[in-house]
Amino acid sequence: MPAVLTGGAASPAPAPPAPLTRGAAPKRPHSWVQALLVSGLILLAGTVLGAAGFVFEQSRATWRPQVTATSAGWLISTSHGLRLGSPALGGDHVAWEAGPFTLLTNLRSGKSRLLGAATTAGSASAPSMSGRFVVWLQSPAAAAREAVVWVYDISRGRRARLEDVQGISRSPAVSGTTAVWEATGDGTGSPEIHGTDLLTGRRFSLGESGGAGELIMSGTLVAWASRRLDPAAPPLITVADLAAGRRWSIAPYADGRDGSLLGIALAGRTLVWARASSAMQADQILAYDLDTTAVRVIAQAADLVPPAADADLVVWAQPSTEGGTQVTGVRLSGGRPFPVASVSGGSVRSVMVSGKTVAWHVAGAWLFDTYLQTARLP
Amino acid sequence: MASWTARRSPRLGQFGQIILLWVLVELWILNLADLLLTRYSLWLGFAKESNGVMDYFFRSGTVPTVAFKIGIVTVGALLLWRLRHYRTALFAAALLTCIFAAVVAYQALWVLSF
Repeated sequence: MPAVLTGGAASPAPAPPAPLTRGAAPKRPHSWVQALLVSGLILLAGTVLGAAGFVFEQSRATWRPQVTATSAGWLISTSHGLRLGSPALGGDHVAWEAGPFTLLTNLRSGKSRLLGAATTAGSASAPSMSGRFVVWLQSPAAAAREAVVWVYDISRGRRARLEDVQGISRSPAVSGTTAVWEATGDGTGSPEIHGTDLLTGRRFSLGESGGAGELIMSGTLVAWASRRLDPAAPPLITVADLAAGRRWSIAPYADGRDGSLLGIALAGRTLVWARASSAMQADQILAYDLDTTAVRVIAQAADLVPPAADADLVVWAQPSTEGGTQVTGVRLSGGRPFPVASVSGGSVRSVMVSGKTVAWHVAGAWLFDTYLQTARLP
Repeated sequence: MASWTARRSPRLGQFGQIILLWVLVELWILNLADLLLTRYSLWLGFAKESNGVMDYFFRSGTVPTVAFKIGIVTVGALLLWRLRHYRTALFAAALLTCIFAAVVAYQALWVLSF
């Protein structure tokens, strides 16, 4: 029998739903991590923006030279009004100064990198290089009396500050693992030649320089040219042997004669210099053997470009009879001068040699403001 | 300032405030990185401080430079945190952090490229 439906007590009605409010949402456990991710995205956006700006600027950089292969070597040219100045050759690299910049170009890969950039108003000296090191002087302002001697280790890709120098200092020089530069003496205040072993850090002084106009180094020999107190007297070339502790003082031309010193170079233990003489109407390149004191003239012509030397090889440039400029070399150990290259346009500013690589720096050429060309000797 | 911002800026939720906190922390760290990279670039001699105010402090010495640089960004970050209830604060902090990150990335790449 079916149960009779009764009107018994009804079950309690469900509670009405809570009214919707605008209260705070329940805190999610991962909100801190999610917020960190969002803030990371903001950071990433800025980083990408900065990196893109850097890459864009580098791609448009005016300091980057154009490097093209030639049949005998490389042609390094500059554009955007940037003038390639005062290069140095060492092993497979060329270091050069262009206004406030110091650059290094690998002659094998053709790639260049910026070693140093002085501020806009600053300047960099002509660099000097050995197979492994590049040294140069950098001033924060063109007329600044404070400058910094820098060294760049090619094999390690590291740059280091050698010394802060006061006063007008000349370009530093390096050979092997030893660097020298001119600095003001601590006690005397007069210019001195300071140096360091770049591997051990051992410092040394070669004494007063008398104001080096040009400072060079080869092996254990350091040479510099300085003016004398009497302006009519010829300059003095001082050579110091770091190993033997000896010093030589050589006058590039006789006292009382009208002349000028064009440049100096060291070929092994032979001092080479170029001198101009208005009386002779020709420039000369002379070689002085420091051990035997024998002197000989190795070239004589008008408008000689000062020589460069490495081991027993001396190279220079002189006007050729065809109208251009002839880059010529001679081995001091024997043999006749031989042609290295013929330059048809522009004027050769300087020549360089390192091992079997010869380079010449040309300004005022038709296609380029300045360029540097290399050739490898057989 | 709060009333002016309140009239013009929508409110920022709790999640947004946590983002703001992280962004301000990043901003503070980036400011420190900017200081160190600038000091290093100046020491290398490859850069010149073009901001006249910072140039004055760099010439005055390390302690005044650190105090000013960290102090001013800390005060700015605290000010933005004070306004954390407004979306404008998050926008400003994000923009500043983005710019600082770009500057620091550029500086770091420049230093590394040497």
